[in-house]
Amino acid sequence: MNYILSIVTLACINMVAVLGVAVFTGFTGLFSLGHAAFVGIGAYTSAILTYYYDAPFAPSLVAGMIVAACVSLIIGIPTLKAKLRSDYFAIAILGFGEGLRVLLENLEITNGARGLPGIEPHTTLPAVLLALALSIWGVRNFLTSRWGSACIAIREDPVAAEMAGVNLFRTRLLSLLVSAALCGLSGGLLAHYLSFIQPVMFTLVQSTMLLATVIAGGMGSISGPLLASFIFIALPEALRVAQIWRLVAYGLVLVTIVVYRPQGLMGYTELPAVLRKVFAPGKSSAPFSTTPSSPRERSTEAVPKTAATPSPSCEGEKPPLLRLEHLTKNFGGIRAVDDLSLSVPEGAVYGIIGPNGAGKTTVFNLITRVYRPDEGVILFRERSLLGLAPDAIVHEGIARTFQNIRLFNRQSCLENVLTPLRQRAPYGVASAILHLPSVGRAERELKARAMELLTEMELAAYADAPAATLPYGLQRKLEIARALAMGPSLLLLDEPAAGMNPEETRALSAHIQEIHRRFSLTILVIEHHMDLIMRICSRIAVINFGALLAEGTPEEIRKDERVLEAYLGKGKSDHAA
Amino acid sequence: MRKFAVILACAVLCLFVGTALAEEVVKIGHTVSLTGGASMWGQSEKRALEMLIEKLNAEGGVLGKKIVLVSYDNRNDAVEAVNVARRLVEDGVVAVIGPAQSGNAIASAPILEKAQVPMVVTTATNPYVTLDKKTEKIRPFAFRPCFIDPFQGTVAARFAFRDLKAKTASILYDVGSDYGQWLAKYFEEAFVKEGGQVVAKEAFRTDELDYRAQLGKMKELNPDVIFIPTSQKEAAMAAKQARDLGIKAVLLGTDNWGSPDLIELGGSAIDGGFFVNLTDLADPDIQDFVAEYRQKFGEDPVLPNPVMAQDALLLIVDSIKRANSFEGPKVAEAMANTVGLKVTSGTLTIDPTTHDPLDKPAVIQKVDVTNNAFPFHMKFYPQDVK
Repeated sequence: MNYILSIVTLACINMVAVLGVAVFTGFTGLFSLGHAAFVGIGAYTSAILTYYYDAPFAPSLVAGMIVAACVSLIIGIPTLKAKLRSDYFAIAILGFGEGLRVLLENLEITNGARGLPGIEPHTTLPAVLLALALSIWGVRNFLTSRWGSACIAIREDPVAAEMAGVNLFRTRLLSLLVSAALCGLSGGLLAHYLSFIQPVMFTLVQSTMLLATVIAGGMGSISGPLLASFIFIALPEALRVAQIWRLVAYGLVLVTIVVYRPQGLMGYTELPAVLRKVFAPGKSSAPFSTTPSSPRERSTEAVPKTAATPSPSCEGEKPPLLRLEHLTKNFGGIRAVDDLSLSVPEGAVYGIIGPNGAGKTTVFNLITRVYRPDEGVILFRERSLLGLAPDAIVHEGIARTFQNIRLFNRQSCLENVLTPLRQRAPYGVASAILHLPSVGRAERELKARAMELLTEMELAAYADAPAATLPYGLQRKLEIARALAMGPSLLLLDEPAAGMNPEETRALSAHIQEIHRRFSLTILVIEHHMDLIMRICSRIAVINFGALLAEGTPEEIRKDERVLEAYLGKGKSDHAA
Repeated sequence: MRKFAVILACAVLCLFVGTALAEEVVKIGHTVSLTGGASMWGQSEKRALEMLIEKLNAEGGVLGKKIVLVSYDNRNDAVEAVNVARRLVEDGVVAVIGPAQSGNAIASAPILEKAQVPMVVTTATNPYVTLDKKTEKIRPFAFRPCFIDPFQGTVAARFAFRDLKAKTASILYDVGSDYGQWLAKYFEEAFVKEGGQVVAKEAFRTDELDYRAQLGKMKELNPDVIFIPTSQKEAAMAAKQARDLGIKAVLLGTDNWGSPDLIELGGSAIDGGFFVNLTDLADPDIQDFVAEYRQKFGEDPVLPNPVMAQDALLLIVDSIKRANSFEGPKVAEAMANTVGLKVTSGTLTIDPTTHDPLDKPAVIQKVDVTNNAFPFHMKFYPQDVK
């Protein structure tokens, strides 16, 4: 094989592994300093098969992928369970990488540290190009499917991801599985390219290189790490004439990349998208420059119409949709929620008010299982939610927004709404990776549904804009849209009017009432803005120091002596917060 | 600053143009560790080759062409070594010197073989450098001027059994080093064949520097010698810890020990140890070379690589002359039939059935801490241990 072609081959082999790490670290946001171990497992598995058993090349590569994936499960299952702590995995994989090396050095079949010489050089450039093309295609399909958007959601915000119906554990495990399989494939190709493998080729140094490549290439990009991988392989070769200064020059280039592109070569974008932008500059202007005011104006206009519809207040006969019974939650010595019992009737807009630190948000976090209650029961449609995982609760029909907005910031508005929609997409992992026609159909339907939702929320103009670039008020709206995408029957709104002026607040009240009507929802809302609460709620609970102070219709609350004394202050009835 | 850049650019340009214009040259490749843990030997190897090429070119080069050395750093890494081998083939070298390490050599061999470029490794002592492990056939384009590990292991075992009168031995080796694993195996086989007993074979992990657990076990068994086929650093640490534990056994090492670090790090603990080497500074055959090297670079060569590299170069040049051709297959054929060639380390005869030297001796050196030297102790020829 020609020298240049051989360098290209090597770069492509490396790219397959980099692609794997990009899925795991770049797109799922989990760090690993042990992925070279999966490369090693793939290399040894496939090499042993062709070397000792004369197995054909392609099946041995597949075997390498499968073994690497299975081993990744063994490490992933116990360590990725920890909900919001991905460091357990990082430590476990670090140890595993070292352990694997010791194992390879001591096994008879791997020939120990002496290595396996004389592996058949099956790996040809066309074979590598085919493998790389298939890998890129598969990864792209994976990332644009429901699992890919679940991975990205986890990277952006694991808590919000759960509330969008993403199962953290399963998604992370799947991401690990895919990345390990790709690394295994890369290993098999490497073994049959070099025709000699040694345990020392698959150590921390190589894992670090893989991670560095992904970081230098860009964390949310496929093309970036591939580009970086090519540079990392080709540059030292190009600098070979520089003799011992080669590594110094190489280091300088890397430092330059890090200094001038701290987000990596491609950041969170893809090469084709950037090229399109460069070659069609007229079309790429930001959407807000022209339209930011119009949707808001429209929503203000909508106020009087919807405000006229009175809140229904005759749900008394139906069984309550949500019932909290004797709920208690302690944080150390502080009793955040104290023996709280509430019933939220179906179809109501139910308000929870109380001073700062009264435990309102904790109640939401208990309902959505961010926290586990110390005592008490939460019943939804008369079924206990206590045994369910957060994403399962979401699938039961409870969606929420957050006090401090938690969007998938780097994702477009459309993606933000699509992510929860996709969690019910009717296709499997395999068909997603192979991008079967059913997937395309399902995706088209979901996208149409997402656009519909955005249109209803008057966000259609921002569909392609990253969520973080939206103005504050629109981010709130987008968060509500994302919650609605779950198709909930109960919507929890945590201080939706926080940071809004009276005018914006009035518009929001109208909007909430509109949503309430149009989606036939039950809404549970925490607010400080009394006017909003009084305007939209059919029932109100007042909480102080985690305990229920009063409960009733707005009129009853307005007149309640205890509330007036303890919370609103004597003589005042409005604008308490 | 700008002026400097222009001058630099011109210099680089001249370099390229210079090599491009010089049609009447023959390129000889050199794959070597110029960076990393083995760079000490690699740098010295390169200097020795440049020194010899200067001399050869003054005498008219080979077949009327001047010799140009194309050296690339392989970082003592198998993947890099493969890239270097391919690059050298691309550069059109007629033969390749190196790599010095067996793993890198084994990885490079198939590429050079396919390109029909003869490869003469310097100190890669593993049998499978010149032998295809799978087919057990000789690699037609791989040669070496150095002895092989089974011989080194045998020499160490025979020296321990017959000269040190050791009846029991233990082995401490790096499980992560192919070199260590092979030598441990060969020593054990040879020592048992001699009639001795290997009472303990203890491994440690690469980069581990605390061997007290392994040595503690050995202390109970009280072996006569401890064979430590590692680099100088590990050997020195092991020696210190062994003496601290009160182990009296003679320490025996291999050709990786021969570095001044051994005494610096080991101190009195390593005193009185022995090791097998390819050649040593006191070897009467290489005195001319050592003197020339000292004069030119103001320091001692880091043995044995520079000597072996010169041997490799002389073997290549001689084979080209005898083949009267630069074509790989012809040169390789001539190489396989080398008999009694005068080289830096003495004479070189290649065994056509193994491509290993027939007459390359191994020297035993003693560690003399008081004089900070490795005096020559004795010499073994292949026929001695047959």
